[in-house]
Amino acid sequence: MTTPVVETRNLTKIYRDFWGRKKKVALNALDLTIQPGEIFGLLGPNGSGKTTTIKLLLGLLFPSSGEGYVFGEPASSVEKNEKVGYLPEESYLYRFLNAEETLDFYGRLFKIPATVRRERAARLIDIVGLSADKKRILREYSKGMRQRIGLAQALINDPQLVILDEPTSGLDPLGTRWMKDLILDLKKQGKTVLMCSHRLDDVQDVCDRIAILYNGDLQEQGAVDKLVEDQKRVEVRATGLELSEGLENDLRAVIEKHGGTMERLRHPTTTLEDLFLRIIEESKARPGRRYLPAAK
Amino acid sequence: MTSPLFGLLILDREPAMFSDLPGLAQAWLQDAGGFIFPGLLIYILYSLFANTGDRGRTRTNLPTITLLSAAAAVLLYAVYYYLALDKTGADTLNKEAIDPSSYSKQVAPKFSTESQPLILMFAGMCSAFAACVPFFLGVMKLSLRRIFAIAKLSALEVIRNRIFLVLFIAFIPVLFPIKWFIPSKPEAELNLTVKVTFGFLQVILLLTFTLLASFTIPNDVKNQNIYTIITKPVQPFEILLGRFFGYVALATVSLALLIFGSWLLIESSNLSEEAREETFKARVPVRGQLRFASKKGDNIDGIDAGREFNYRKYIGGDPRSSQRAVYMFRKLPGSLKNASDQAVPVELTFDIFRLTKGIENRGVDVTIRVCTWNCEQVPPPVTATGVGEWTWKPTESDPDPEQAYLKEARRLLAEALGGKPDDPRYRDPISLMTAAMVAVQEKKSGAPIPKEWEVANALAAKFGFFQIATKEVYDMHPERVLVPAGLFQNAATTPKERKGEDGKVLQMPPEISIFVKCTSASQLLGMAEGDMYFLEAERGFGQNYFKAAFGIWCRLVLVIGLALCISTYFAGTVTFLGTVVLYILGLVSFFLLELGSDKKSVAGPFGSLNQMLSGKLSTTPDDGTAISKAAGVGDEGFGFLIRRVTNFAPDVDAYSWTAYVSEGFNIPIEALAMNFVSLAAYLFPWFLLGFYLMRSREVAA
Repeated sequence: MTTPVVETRNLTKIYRDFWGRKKKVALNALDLTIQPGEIFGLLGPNGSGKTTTIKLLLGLLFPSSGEGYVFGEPASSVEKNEKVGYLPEESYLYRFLNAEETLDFYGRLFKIPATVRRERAARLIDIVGLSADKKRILREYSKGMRQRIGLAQALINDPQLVILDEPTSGLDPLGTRWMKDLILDLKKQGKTVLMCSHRLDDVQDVCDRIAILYNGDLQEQGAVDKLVEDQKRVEVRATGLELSEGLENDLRAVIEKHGGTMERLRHPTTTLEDLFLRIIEESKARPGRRYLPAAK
Repeated sequence: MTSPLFGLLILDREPAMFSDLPGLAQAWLQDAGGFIFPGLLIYILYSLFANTGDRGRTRTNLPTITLLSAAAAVLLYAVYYYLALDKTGADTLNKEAIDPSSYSKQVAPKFSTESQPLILMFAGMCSAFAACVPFFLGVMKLSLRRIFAIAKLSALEVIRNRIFLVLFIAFIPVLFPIKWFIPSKPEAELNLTVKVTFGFLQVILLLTFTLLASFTIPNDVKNQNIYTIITKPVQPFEILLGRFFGYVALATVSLALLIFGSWLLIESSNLSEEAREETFKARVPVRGQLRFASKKGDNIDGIDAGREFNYRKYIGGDPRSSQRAVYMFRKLPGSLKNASDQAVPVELTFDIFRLTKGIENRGVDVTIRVCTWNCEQVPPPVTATGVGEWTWKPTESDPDPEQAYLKEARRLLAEALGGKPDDPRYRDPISLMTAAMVAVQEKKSGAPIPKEWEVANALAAKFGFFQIATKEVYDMHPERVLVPAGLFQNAATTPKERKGEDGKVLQMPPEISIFVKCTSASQLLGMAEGDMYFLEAERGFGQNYFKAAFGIWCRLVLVIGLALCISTYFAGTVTFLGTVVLYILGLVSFFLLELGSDKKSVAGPFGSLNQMLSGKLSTTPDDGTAISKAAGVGDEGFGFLIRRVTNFAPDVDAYSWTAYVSEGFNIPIEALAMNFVSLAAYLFPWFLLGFYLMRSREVAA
């Protein structure tokens, strides 16, 4: 049995006033386990406790009761941060530094030899697509650029656990697709990813397991595929067929023979994101291409 | 320290030296330990009842040695309070920090072996040790690499935000000669330049760095930049240390550039000859102790002339007066024996309080008699009338040493200058030697020494005596006289141990004593301990200027450290105000100590209120009623609180060397080393507090 990367037992956070009276239960008795190598999503509306959970695991907050462990060490331990990378929701980086200086600064906070640190920083700047802007200070960056450099600083120590808070927030579809591909790539490298997001389609695309929080309480937890599976319906996909009345009738007969009811027969749809990305890629390949309405 | 217009250093206290370390260490343990103790108790209770209340610590997971030390501290404080209530073993050595009537008003505490101060010291030691154990365990986890990274970040932040520009723009007014804006006498030109330059630099630098240090951590928390640091393997205390060293490095560079620039301006400016003579140097004085004596006693009170600040005491002027101001030098440096031109300078600045108008444009006359411990002087008997002259004490080998001195003087003068000893020229050898002293003062460097001066040296070496027959001094005007180096050769021979009538060994007399007499009738001559000294050497102005900058550096480090530590808990504005308040309290701590002293001549706030309500004058004696007793208790409590506030405030004045540079006095290296030690000792408890606050703070709360 492998040691979970993250484990919480009855983790609770209650905000109190100066006199010790309960003001708000931000997190209530959360039991969570994240295994190595999986991408775990934390979902929930605003104020549900997602960010509180992350802050408790990172040591930015201290629990009111219960325990949190990361790599088997208490969440408040400083040493465990050697193996953790964190991308906050907003870019909390120092805006007077440029990209190189930012990665150099954060790299120095880890036990990374200087040559490795410099090589890794250069590689990460390349990966996040900021090579042309690495000498500009962060104050001049757009939101998307700051998000990218934020991700680079989260990866500077080649962490085993990457915590991403709203990683696609503020990114355009291209940036979102890039981020999701990166997250999947991290999984391929054997890393564990914990992410929170409001964008359910992004979570569905990348996460293996999710937990849904509401008002500080854990409402649901499990594998994404299993949770979204509609047990009451059967979906069939086929190629090499033309839609026709005859096909529809034949299929209806088969389904009714097995006691079912056919709801719909049509061509499947792609996502708007895929459509968008395809069009953009085609536009890049054919500069000057323009939309022309179909001839009547 | 304050200073008047002319080259003179008024000292409210001597700077601390290495010899003061034991007493200062004891006082520090008592004070710092006393302040640490309640914090320690709070922390232990917090750790017992909070759940993982601070990083890496779970409930009751305090080191055992911390708990044991805290328990020992509790026990020792209980014993101390019992002794205090029982009035046993009180500290008699350090009764008062301030004695407004003494010359050196504030003295460094002495190490006391009485039971109360000793137990208080050990209690403080135990509570400090208890608090330091987790601190030192935490310090062992610190990484210089991370601290350096954060320090470098701090420096870059200041530079990229162009704060240095502000500093250099603010320095522009100092580029212009101060005399263009503030008229002054020629001899005061450098004095004023140094004061204005140092004052200006300090204001600008202190304000800038206090603001920087006050807002840096609160801004990091507010902007949430601190999230990306805390989520790295960074000990919270490293953030504090990194910021501290970053700003200290910047402050050092800024100060160095500004001081070097201002020094270059001074060196290249067209200073007047008077200013060069007066203050463009660094005198190394050898100071003694002052007492007053007359036929009525050898340790009388000097005359109080009624000046607002009774810094000086006075002797009456008259040719027949037996009153003397006696400067006693108990330990003298050996280098004085080999002074150039066989002459050791003595500088003096006396105050004249005129009882009559006197002669216009004329000072008063003084006689100065310099004697070693081999040549004791005795006052005339109490019953003597019309006779004011002190005489030589007879020795075992010579019943009339004064006559022997004069006889030998005439013989040597005759040998040196020709003629016979009974020649009328040699009737008053003392006047001849005084004239020779003047000639040595006025001669050019390299010119031969007058023969009379060589005779004076020979006599001084043999008898341990030299007298300046008459010297005219002006009100608060620095004067210089010379004494033969032979005196110091004579003083180097240790006299025999003397015993009193009861067989007890008597205290050794001072190596050299200077007896000052005012011979101008109806005038009072005032002096303080710092008003007369031997001049051991004169060093360069430049090195003194840079040494004084060290004092400014200490103040910068002080405000940076204070502001950073306070900002670990409070917001930027509160931190800034708190730091400023503490700094100002430190500036006025001398006044506060006087306020809290039991030796005040007037009642405290409660006593004064009682007097006002009952319509009494402030000089009315206490009537012993219940209300006045209660007011007295209130005043004692007030004094106690005020003294605690001064314990809390930094000793800012100790780092001020401006007066030394502006008046042309050398700053001892030992005193600068003690500055550094006292700075570290003051900041250490604050950093201890910062350590605990940082690690128990929820940055995301």
